[in-house]
Amino acid sequence: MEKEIINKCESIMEEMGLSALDDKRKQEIMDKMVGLVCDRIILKLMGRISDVEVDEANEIMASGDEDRQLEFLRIKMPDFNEILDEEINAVKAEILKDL
Amino acid sequence: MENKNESKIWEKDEVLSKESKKTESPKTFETNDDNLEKAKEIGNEEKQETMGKEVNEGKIETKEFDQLIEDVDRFNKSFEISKTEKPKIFDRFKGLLSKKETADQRDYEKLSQDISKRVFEYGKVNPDILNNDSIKEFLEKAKEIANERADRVDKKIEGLNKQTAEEIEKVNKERPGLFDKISERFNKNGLEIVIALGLLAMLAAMPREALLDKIASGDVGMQINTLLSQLNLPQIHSFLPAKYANLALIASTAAVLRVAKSDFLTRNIKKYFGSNDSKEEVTQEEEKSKEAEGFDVSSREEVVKKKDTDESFNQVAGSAEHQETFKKYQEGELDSKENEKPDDNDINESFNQVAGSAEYQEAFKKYQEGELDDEENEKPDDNDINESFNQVAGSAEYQEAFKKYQEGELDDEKMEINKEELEMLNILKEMITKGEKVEVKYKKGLDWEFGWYVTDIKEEKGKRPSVSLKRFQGSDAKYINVDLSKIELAKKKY
Repeated sequence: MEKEIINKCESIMEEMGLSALDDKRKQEIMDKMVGLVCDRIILKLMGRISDVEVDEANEIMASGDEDRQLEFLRIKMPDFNEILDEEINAVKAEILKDL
Repeated sequence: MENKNESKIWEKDEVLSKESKKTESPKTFETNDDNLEKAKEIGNEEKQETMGKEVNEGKIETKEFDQLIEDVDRFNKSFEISKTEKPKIFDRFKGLLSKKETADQRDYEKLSQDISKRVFEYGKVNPDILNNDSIKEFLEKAKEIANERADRVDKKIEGLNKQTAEEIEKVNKERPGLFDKISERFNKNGLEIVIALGLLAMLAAMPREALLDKIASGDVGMQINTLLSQLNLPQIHSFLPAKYANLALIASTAAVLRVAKSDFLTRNIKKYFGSNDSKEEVTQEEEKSKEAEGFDVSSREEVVKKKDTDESFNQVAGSAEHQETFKKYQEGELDSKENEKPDDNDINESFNQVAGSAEYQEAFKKYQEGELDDEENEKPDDNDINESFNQVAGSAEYQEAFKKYQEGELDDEKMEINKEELEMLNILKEMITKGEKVEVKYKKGLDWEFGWYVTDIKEEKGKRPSVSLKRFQGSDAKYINVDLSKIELAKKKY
């Protein structure tokens, strides 16, 4: 766990009133949140892949060619950090709602 | 609506708390004494001992602490009541909490967290308070309250996961297999991708100087440690201390690079973050050259839009968890295997001494100015700066130099003592002779740490004077020997 996503999760912990939790429990919750954020980011990425690109995307992702995968992701998601921010904030807001 | 109300309540509480402090502050010592008397009456020897110790030793006798303890005591009492009579719990909080209306679980949780925050903030200045019985009792309750809240958070996440799973199912129907392939790609590297991306984003958004400051202060090293352990990469401990301070700096930077290189994205991660223009080519040579410069990330500021990175970083750096981990890190408890010590003193202490030394400062300045000498900056293997660092760190030359450093033989010029140090030395001697407690602040990296007491002064011919310091840590005390340049009187008298 580290940096951007983790820093944000940490501050969320505080916002959620969970800073007094022990590290293990915090880690469990953070892991769940990270998993959720990851899935949501991938869903966003999927939304940016047009129908005509699906075959190409499938082929690239199955190819094992890391450079191509990187290039594909970079082109599709040059604003990764903004997306990350958005998704983390969305997850946070949804968790905090009527908690 | 709820939040607005809560925020009003908290504003009000803060005001009341301040007012309460104003009115109660003249009685602070009475309060402690009263409590001590009560403890005596009750016959609670443990409490009596603790309180007596606090009062007598004068370690934690500030008004703020008294106020904090009062709040904590009120909280502790109300906690039991809250389980059966929630609406009345806040009556107990008179000054701090005068809310007479219904008090729901959320208010209570918020109160618990607010006091927790104060406890940990205070604990940073005076770690002894964490050993106080009332505080310990409070923290247990705060944890219990947080756990109840965590259960509700878990349920929420579960609900969100369900929603996401439904969306994934939908996408899978439309584009069979693609989500799984991408997900596998992400998951294969675990959090690595996200972590590496986040890490690099942070670095990219942080001015180089600030980053280097962080590295020099050990903060980034600490952060990296956690990261490295997550990634099953060697702890940065194994890199430290360095032969020279600038090498430590390079090592830290190298560790960042190493992490950045640890997954499929990161071989090209600079390219990924370096430009929005996909046509831009960053050659291997250029990348190597950038690495040799210490990973100059300043040029990426334009590319990565980043909000409050420093702030969030500092939040973590200042958080209770971080403080705890950092404390463990300092005490060598994070990874004893890789944290073997050349001598019985704390190796991290030594590193901090290096990092704070004049030699380091000079090297650091040169490093920032790109003036590192070729020998120190040379990489035997241009593909792997870590490799080269490990070679250096493990070399006989390094071991010899580090030994010399520890023995104070590195720089003869540093034997001299300046006027200010001499004045301080005389004051220290005078105070010790008089039997006074001499509190000093100790320079750890770039920060000053309060709460150290001088127990002895060592003067040897041809060597700079050193002082023995003691610091209470819970029921134990920590002892270190440091150079005179590493301390200042907590209350300056010269």
